[in-house]
Amino acid sequence: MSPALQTHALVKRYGGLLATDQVSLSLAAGEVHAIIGPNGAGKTTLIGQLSGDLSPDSGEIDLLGQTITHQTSWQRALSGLGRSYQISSTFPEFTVLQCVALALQAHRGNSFDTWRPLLSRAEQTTRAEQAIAQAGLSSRAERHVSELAHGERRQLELAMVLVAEPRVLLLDEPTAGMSHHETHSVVDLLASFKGRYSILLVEHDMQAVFALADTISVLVNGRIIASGRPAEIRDNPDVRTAYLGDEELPQ
Amino acid sequence: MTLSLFLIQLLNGLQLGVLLFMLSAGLTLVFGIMNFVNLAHGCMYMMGAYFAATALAASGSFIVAAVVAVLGGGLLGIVIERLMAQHLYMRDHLDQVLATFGLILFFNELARWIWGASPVFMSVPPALSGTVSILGVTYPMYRFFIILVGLLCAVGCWLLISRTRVGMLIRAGSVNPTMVSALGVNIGLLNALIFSLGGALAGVAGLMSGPILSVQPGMGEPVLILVMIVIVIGGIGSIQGAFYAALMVGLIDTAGRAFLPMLLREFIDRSIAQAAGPAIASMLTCIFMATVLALRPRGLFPVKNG
Amino acid sequence: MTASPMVNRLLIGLLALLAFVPLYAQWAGEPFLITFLSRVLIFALAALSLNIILGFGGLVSFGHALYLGLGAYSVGLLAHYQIDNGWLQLLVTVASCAVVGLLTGWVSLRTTGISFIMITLAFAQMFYYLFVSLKQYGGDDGLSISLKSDFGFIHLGSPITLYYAAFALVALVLWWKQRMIQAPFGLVLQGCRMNEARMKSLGFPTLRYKLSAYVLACVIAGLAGLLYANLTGYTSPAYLNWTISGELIVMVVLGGMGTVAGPLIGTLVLLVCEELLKAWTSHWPIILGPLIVLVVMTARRGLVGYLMRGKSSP
Repeated sequence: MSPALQTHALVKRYGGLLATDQVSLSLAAGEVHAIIGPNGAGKTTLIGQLSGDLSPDSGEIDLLGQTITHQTSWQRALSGLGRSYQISSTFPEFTVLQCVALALQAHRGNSFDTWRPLLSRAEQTTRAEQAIAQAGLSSRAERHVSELAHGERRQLELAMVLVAEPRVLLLDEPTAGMSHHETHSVVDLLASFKGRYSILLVEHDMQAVFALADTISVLVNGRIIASGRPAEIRDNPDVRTAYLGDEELPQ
Repeated sequence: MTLSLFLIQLLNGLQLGVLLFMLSAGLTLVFGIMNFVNLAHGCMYMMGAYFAATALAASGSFIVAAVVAVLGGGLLGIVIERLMAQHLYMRDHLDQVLATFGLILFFNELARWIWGASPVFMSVPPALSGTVSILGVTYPMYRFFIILVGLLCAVGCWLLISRTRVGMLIRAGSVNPTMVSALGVNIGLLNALIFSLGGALAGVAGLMSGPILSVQPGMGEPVLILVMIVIVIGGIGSIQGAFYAALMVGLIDTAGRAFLPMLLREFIDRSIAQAAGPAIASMLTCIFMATVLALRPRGLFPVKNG
Repeated sequence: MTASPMVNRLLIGLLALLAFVPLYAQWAGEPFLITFLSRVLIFALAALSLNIILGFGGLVSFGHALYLGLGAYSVGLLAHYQIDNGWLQLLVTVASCAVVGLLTGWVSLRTTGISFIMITLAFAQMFYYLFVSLKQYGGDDGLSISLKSDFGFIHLGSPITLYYAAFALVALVLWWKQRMIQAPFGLVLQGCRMNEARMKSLGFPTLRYKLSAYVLACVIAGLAGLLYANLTGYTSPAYLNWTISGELIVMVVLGGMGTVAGPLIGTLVLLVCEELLKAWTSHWPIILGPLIVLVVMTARRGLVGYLMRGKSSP
């Protein structure tokens, strides 16, 4: 079975800085592939190129068997790619329900209806409420985004990505700023997706990474220095060196 | 159309170009560094022209008029910056557009009140009222003087930006304003300085334009629109871009005003062709701008963000 | 931003009042009231159209007067050739505003921020010069219109008919915007204003929607222009002037950007203020200018925003 997501020798430069250095990785269908690395390694830049927010200087990206390197981010989203942001990127004046319903609306044909309220569409609103429940945010569905606590915004971030049931998920530090309990819920949720969704996960929380990942790639200075099963990565000396002082790999 | 006619229009284009540069240099910095939409820039140009005209009429000396225009423009820049602009840097462009729009209404009416609605006459200084011979054509000495002054200003800007410490701060500020203030630079002083520099340059432009254009209320806005086109084409925040774009727009505008009506006269009524001049010039510059933006949405020399 | 019940009641009250103005004016012998409020309604229509792209979409167009002018000239040019068929004039208005809006919008919407503001201004200026150059149609002096628009069942030559035509359009557009703000199109526009990058990554081709909104706004402004030419019996390049574009922005922001009722209230307040100032001194811009600056520096979300403060919506 062809990989859900694949990159070939991706390169991205910012002036003299090589943010992404010949990155080739592969996300197999139905698996969780985690990207870890010290701060400044270029993880968000990599995700940006995969989602279409940034364009690579060279290299290719394949999504579900098709080359998407020069596709816009909205075309990728409609092809089945969902992306969540490291810093919650939502719509401050909307309610939680409006945000999630809008996220779903992108996949429900065109949005040229200027008359009937979006939330009057029963099927879409129900689906949106389901996604909000999945993310654990049901009690806050009617609240405006500006009233949410930080952890709740991360949950909203997740709901917005999940509602359209994308085949491939790019998750950029989904548990950042969450409490222990909230992180646990997210990990359980993502674990339940295995087999159904393919997930590329950027994370700093090593407990989450080692609980979820089928494959781990380590990104340092824009380059992948190691890639393989969690056990191999844990015992890899180069990885330990790269992480010295940065993170403690769980035993 | 003869070669000499062509050369004269070329020089006219150059002359308009350097005037546009003097106005766009200050404005592009304000846009690029403070991210501030200053529609009142045309007002500093207009007031510079009025100050110069009044000073010239009172003293009879062009040099005095020049000093008054530069100082007046610079002072006006500082006053606008300290009283109003500095409170609006953090606000969105819409608020800035509205506030400076309010200033335009104020200044235009002020000019009408003080100097009247009719154009104020400003004479060409006697020393510069002859002609010179350039490239084999006879060209008004005063217009040639404008070209020289403009190029001098351009060189001065270049020296300031690339060779002085202040210039370095300005360059850094246009790439990463937050970083510059985080480094402890007195950003308030720098901003006031940039505004007053823009005002002084606008004052010079007003002074130079006085004898050849009408000094009247509302003279700033048509020029301002052309200046904004220059800045968009050149790239916001880039003085280098402003220089090249100003010359290009100056040449295109002059061509539209002069050459095309000449061509049109062959086909349609002379008076209509003549009246069409400004419209054609405006259309050409707009088409030029649209073309540049289609190929390079951020202008020809965009300032790279860090 | 959904309006609070209080603002809705205020709006309905205002509309009811406006509906009775012609009757009152006739009874009290004050025809000027009809003329003045017709002008308010026409500019409110233009401001409402600007609010679609400015308030909902966050796009600061400084060249919206262009479309007011196109509508006015559609009437003027056709009337010049003895064509007073309102439907034909309407067709020309809609077609010209749609085409020009599509072309200028497609270029302008490739940019954002400061560039967008300046480009919309430049395009409007270009058409201003175009109309000035058309000496055979009055040029700078403008074109007077003696034949008013005839729509068969109504004739805009009658001041009261014109008033109610403007009133009907304003009420219609207000109702439509009330619906639009919660409908997919309105939500997408607001989403683009708040976070366009996210909208794209969610799967929305944002340019398509911004351009559609832009063209819609242009056409509605054209309708306002058509009415304005009938009101003044005159059209001129001055209708495309950047000062008019600026005043439209003031009307939208003064009333409250992104609210439904804002533009109507803002237009009313601004034009009433102008009339009062004009009666006081011929140098009224000297006062209006700093007044606008003051409003910008203090009342951040306009009058409707001020009325809605403290309610649950932020």
